[in-house]
Amino acid sequence: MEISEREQAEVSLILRAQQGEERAFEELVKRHDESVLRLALSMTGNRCDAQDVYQETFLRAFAKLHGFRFESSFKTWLLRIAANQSINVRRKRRLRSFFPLMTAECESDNAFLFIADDQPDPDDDIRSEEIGREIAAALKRLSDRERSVFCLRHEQQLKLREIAVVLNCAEGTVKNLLFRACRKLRIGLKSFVEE
Amino acid sequence: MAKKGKGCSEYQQDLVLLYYNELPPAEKKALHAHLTECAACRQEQEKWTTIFQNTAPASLDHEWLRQNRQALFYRLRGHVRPAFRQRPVLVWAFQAGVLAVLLIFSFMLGRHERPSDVSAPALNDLFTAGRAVATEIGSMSPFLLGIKKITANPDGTIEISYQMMNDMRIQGRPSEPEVQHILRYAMQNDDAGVRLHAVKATQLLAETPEQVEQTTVAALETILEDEANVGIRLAVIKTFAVFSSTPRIQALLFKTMLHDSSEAVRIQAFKSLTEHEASGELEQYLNSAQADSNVYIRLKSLDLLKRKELL
Repeated sequence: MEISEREQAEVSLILRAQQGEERAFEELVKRHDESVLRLALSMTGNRCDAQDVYQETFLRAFAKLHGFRFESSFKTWLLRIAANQSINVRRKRRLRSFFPLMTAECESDNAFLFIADDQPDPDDDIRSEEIGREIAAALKRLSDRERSVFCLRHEQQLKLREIAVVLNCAEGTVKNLLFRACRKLRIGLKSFVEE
Repeated sequence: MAKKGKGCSEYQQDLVLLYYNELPPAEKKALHAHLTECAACRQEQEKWTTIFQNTAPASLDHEWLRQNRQALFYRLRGHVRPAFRQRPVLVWAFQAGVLAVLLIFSFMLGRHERPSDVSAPALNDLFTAGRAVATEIGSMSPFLLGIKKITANPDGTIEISYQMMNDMRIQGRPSEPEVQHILRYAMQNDDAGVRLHAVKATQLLAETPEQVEQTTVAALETILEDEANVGIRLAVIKTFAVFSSTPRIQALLFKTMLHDSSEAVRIQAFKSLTEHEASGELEQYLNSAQADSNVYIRLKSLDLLKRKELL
């Protein structure tokens, strides 16, 4: 099996970062932070929490980098941290919802939007927003694990076996979670699909 | 393989996996064949496609990404603790109030009278069989594990059937056959922790490699093949690494490097095999490692091949 130059460079960056070289770690951040931020945004559903998850993910990764043993790809390892962080943030947010004063600061916004942007018709824009809201509402009905699986498969394009590594569970479990997530989404978007 | 006699509902479940290209080839073929014949399933497929295409994520705001990256680099370079998110004073005041109430409440809860000391019953009298049992190493009071049966006999006696248990302790050098025997026994224990400690204990045999019994090596080999727990398999590899490098152990490590499902175990086996660079089989190990799915193993083996001018 051939080693691509990118893979080779990445291993070298990780080894350098493990020796404490911050610049090497920053290079790794640049390679993967878009995926992390995207996952954080779709998992938490709002920018405010997503940026907290982003920061915490990389700070934790930096602190625990010496323990990375190349058993999975670096991206998978980062996404595992980000997914766990996002679940924690969502749990805290649910707890905070019992204290109304603490929830006003982060308004939920739609991480998923209808993507028919190339059509200039204003009616389409309104429809896009409407569907975006419907999708956000449907996504809210997913459990943390269902949402993680859906985001990792649908958005990050990870294979089911990679998601199993990220979530530390069996591939069969991931498959079931994906089914459940898709079925719930389908029910949530019934009006849109049945039109 | 696709199951025979699948109905539309089962095929419709596969549509999600088909969209994500996660269906095995045979099932994919069967589903495609079904879709050409079944209009209802085709319609279902279109609905799923509509949903998936319309739940595509919005493009990420790159300016926002850049800002986040800058903030992160600032924190990394300065090693500063994460800044707390700005919250209105009212929220801080509310949180402080809740904390104060909780503190007062827990203080009040804690103000109760300390119960007077109750003279503890002689626990040994309660839980031991009472009567000392003579053993080879002296007399001891066995602990009661459970009562099986109590019968009042016609002659006025009471018959009690009970199980008893006593902890035993054995202390000896790992080279002693009794110690190795019990360690091998412990390797079959139901408790993964006990199995792990048993394997780790065998690492002490490195001091006297000539005393390692072949049965112990065989037990470790069995663990390597059958054990589901990755940590225990890793411990076996580490044990083999400290044993003297016999052809049998080398062959076991090589087999593990080629076939173990865990990347961690394969990496450890690879490290153990390539540790002694003078090994005559090194080239074979390194060439085989080139086919590994793990990029670290491939890269390290390539490096070694270049360094040893074996390429």
